[in-house]
Amino acid sequence: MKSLIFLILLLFIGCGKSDKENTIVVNSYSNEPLLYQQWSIEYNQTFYEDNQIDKDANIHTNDLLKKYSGKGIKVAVIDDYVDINHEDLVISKTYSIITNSERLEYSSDYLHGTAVTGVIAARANKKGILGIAYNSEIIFIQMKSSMRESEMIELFEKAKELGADIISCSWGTYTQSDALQDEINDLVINGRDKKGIIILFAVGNDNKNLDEVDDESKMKNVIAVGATDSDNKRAVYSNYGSDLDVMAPGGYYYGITTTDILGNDGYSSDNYNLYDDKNAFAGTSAATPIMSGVIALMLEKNPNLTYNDIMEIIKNYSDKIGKYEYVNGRNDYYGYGKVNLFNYLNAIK
Amino acid sequence: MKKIFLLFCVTFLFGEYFYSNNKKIELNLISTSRDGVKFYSLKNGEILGVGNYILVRFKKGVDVLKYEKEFNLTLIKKIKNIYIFKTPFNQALEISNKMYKLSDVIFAHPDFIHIMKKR
Repeated sequence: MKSLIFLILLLFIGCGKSDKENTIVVNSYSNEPLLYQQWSIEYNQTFYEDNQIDKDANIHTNDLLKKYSGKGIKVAVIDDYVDINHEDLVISKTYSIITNSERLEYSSDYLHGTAVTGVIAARANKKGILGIAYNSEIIFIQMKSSMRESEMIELFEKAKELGADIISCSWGTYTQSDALQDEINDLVINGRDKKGIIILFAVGNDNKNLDEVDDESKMKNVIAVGATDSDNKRAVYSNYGSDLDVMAPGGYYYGITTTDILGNDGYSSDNYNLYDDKNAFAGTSAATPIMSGVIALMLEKNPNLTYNDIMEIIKNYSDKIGKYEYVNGRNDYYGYGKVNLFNYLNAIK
Repeated sequence: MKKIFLLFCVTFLFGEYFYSNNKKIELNLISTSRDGVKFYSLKNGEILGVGNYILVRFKKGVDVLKYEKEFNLTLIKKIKNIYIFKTPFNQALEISNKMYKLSDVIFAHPDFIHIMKKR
């Protein structure tokens, strides 16, 4: 009896200690109704087996999303439009080059940006899906369907002005120019208090060898992201070449479940675009925000990481998947391999 | 055969182009809009628009005004080190190509209009 009282006393003493440094914050995210079908995020045995998904097709979050959620990290998404009223999204700041103001202009074919944004930052709120960096701050920058190069530069400058740590670009033009490269160089070197803004570009969905064409994803100092499918292989459409850096799930037969324009106006008739919808969200456009979310978690763990630090981790800790030989850690079809969040975060001190 | 050779020479000598990353990029005119924007196709089939604006970065300490006068340019805006100039009508390619070769210039090319492709 005495020892029982002693034990209870010890327990009370332990509870009374309020040592913030020893507190491990455990985020609750697993109650998202559609998380089970977000095959790119984590392994769900029933869902994976029912749909014959390769067990390694996800990014290997291994419960780390309980600890990391992108809190304090600002991710700028440059895209067509985002539904700021979506129940699963919180947009911190907006800017539109169309209205030259915070007000985003809506058009019935501006569906892409809402899908991209959800992949990064859909909230853990028991309403729908889970973004990889679900507590990150989203800065949404609206682009036009055709733009002058100087306007493109202004968008990147705006992202910097609004405090972006990461800029996610799920678009491209198959061109390159000195002026945009100059802007990218400046942001990656001098942005984020000289730690550099991390800029990602989707490599495109045309099964093209990018060594034969120009493209923004080939620019120096950007992270070029290709797509894998639910077989954990390079998606057949994903462009390739010597400038490809890393692969992330982008889907093919099965898409990436994400947020959709509210109501009937989006890709689907629901508020979410599901993995098996007719117009499921798939492509390097989906892979890029996954990688942007991963980098948000990396910066949460260590905000001092630079572009070079992140590239070193990508080079050394990506999964070397696929049938092609990796020479010096890379090949042209998979870059340095596929993102592995668990390995990446463990590699960060 | 002679005609084909002649056509090749004419295209090579007088075809339109711009410079990017120290490469000469060839352009094929496909249409001109009512407001004078010319649309070109690149070798890869992509389309670029060229209006009457150019983007130029000079080396440090260069007398920019001198070049404004020489090429009859109007300064529209400066974004950090990049100058956006308006050129006389229909001369953006010609002027930017000339400026690209100047030792005072780091780069110069038209303020291209791009079609943004979501991926």
